Amino acid sequence: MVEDDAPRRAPKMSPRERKYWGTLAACAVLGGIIGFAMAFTGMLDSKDPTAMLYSNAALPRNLALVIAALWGLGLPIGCLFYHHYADEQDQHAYLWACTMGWYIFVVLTPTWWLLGRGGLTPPVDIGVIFLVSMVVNALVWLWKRYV
Amino acid sequence: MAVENTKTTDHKSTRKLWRDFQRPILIAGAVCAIGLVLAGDYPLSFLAGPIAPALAIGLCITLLSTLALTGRFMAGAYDEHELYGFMYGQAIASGIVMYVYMFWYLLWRGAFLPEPSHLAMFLSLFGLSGLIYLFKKYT
Repeated sequence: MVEDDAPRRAPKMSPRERKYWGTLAACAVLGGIIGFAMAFTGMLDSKDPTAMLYSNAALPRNLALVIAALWGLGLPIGCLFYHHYADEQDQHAYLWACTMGWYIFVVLTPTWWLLGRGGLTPPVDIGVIFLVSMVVNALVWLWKRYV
Repeated sequence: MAVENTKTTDHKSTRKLWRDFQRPILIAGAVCAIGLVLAGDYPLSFLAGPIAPALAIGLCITLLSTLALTGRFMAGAYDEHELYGFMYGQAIASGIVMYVYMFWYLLWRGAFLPEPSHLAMFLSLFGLSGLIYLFKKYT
């Protein structure tokens, strides 16, 4: 009876869950810093707002090195922590997500490459394939994790 | 009991089908590669240069139908252990795409490296995913 009357509270996160979400939050912040740095540089290059996202203009060498180092060190460290704290369901979702992302990469790259060489599409752009593959990866992960 | 027997028989026949199917896959791959080499002006046109639109479409159809049939037969023929090894190989390759491409892209934009090559990434990672699968399966 006492329990029924008590105000409902969200269940407390276990220490492992806190570390798991902390890892994801840290990765998101790192991604945000990298994205902002690149977008800001693109914004300086052009008045066109879309240039922020799609610019392939040269980056200042020091900035490119710093961002590459952030990515090169941040991703493996983030992955290490993620796999350490992720539960079985999450690992399963991750496996499926990566597999589907890989399928997109494997199907799209040679198909576009061949059609591009046949003059039927613009030349293959691995950046676009990378983005599509990552979006599919994220969607499958969300689907397997939460649906 | 009868159902279990049927399943085993089905699985065995699918495995046999998959074994029989592996040879045509290799032949289809060789046909695609030879077609690409012959279609160009010189052997290195396998890597670049224009090809006839009809050939491009034909090769795409061959490639996509081979991939679709491969997936169809493999899904039925693989046991859990093999499927795990297969998915593990692809997951690692996918992770390396994420890592290597972005790294290469950033260093390209900083003028440290040449532009990222789709072909170099595709061929090396495709090979790598196969090697990881074999490692997981046989070790």
